[in-house]
Amino acid sequence: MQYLVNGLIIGAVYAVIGVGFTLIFGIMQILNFAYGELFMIAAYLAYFGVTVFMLPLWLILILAMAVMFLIGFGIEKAVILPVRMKIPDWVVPVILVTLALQIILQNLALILEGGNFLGIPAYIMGSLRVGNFSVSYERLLMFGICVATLAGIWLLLRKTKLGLALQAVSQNRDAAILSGINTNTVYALCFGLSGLLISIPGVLMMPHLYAYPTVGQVPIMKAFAVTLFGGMGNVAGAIIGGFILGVAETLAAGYISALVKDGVAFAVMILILVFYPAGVGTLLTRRKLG
Amino acid sequence: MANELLRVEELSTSYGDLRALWGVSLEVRENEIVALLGGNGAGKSTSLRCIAGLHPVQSGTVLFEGRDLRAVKPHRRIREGLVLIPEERGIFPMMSVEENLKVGGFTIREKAGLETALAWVYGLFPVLRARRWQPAGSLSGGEQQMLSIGKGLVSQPKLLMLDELSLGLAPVLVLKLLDLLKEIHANGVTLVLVDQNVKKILSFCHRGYVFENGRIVLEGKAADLAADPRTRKAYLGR
Ligand SMILES: Nc1ncnc2c1ncn2[C@@H]1O[C@H](COP(=O)(O)OP(=O)(O)O)[C@@H](O)[C@H]1O
Ligand SMILES: [Mg+2]
Repeated sequence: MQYLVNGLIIGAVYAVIGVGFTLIFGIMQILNFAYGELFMIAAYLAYFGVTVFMLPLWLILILAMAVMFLIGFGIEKAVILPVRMKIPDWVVPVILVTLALQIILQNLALILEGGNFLGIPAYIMGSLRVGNFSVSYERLLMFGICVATLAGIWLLLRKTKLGLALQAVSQNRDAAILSGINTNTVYALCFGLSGLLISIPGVLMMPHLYAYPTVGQVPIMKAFAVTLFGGMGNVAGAIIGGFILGVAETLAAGYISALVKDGVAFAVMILILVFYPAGVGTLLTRRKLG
Repeated sequence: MANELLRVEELSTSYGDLRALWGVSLEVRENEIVALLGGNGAGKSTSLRCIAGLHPVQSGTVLFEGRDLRAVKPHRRIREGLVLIPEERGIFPMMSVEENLKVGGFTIREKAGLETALAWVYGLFPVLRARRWQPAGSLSGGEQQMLSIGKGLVSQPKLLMLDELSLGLAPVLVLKLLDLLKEIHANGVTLVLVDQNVKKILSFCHRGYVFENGRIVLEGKAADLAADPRTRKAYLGR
């Protein structure tokens, strides 16, 4: 029971991480290798928010979401758009650009902040105890925020005009253009949205991690696993995949050994590639986004 | 004579090193129905894609209502009243019929305007209303073609260009679609049609252009083209 609860909480975080990653694939058919580095930037933002500016968590979260949206949007406009304009078959070149961006951002962090492991104390103290199992308030809050985020993204995709445009571009790019949708705007918004999504775990996970230049390696592994599990570009699949990965990891750590925990993501990836490469999301919905 | 709506002058383009169009010129006047004919690979789809902005124009000009379309980004052309229904059916298979139509009306800002446009399209295609919550991909071929036409009509275009209207459809369905197009034309929409079914299409259109190897080799009144042996030859020539 305790494991299941912990697994669902971390699963909600993985789901948010996965959705931000799979969204870009669903719309642009590219993998964003710099995704983990967006997490890293958000982690630094949280660190400075707490230690230098001494802001409350809610303000840090909102500021990080806004800043990371702008950073994602800006990266698309400044680095990816020029490549797309030059090269008609831009999928592979853009993936290479994100790889370069990953290296550049890691080194930039190293130059600016050094390789130190910067940590912060818990945002909130105390835990909720019911019988013989307990959950810290901080994790409960993390769960609540992540679930609300997932609900928000689902509403955005299914109930708004922007969501309709995102779906249209993901399903038939030419037809979307012919309908009056500006794909350049959609791509930039998509990167912005992805940055916004990854900023949430980036901030909320900080008390359990450190901010350091390569901290993004952890979330991007989870993002890969969740995205593969759910089906590339499948948002519903990524949500399910996030929860399953979270529970599987926690159970493996609890019943086998904490050492195998990070191996679970790899195992999930290998199993899904061998047995169900389309991803489980296709069982739920043929629609990719939402 | 009616006003000129579309004018294409000396249009040329290629796919990589492969030249696809060699100076195509054509015009479409308001309220006309114009056919683009020619065998497979003759350059009809490429011409339409250049006009819509999906494929880059290498030389030549495209004017819509006298305005050079180079100044109008591809996604803005629907706002000018220029709509293409592409060859591979411009629909979104995983969206519902209604969502597809809403994307077709993406440029309509007011909710009331969109409702009116949807009602007009549902009036033309009652089967779409019956299937409005179904995923577009689950419709039959004929229904999907009706949806792609309906989706193109939501924005109430001045010029509707239809690539391969009858591809893969049963003859009865084609006749039904042509009837509907007649009604759409009566609503004031100018039509450009591409179709392999030369006889049927020429009996329906006012004028036509015959493409061969990326050039226009023949043009004229539909009745004259239908009678001209060279029209048939253009199809069999390849
Ligand atoms: N995507 C493409 N890539 C390369 N060549 C193409 C492509 N589409 C069309 N072509 C070539 O351009 C020429 C014109 O094709 P198209 O405009 O599709 O003809 P049509 O619509 O009359 O059948 C043909 O030689 C065809 O092979
Ligand atoms: Mg064609």
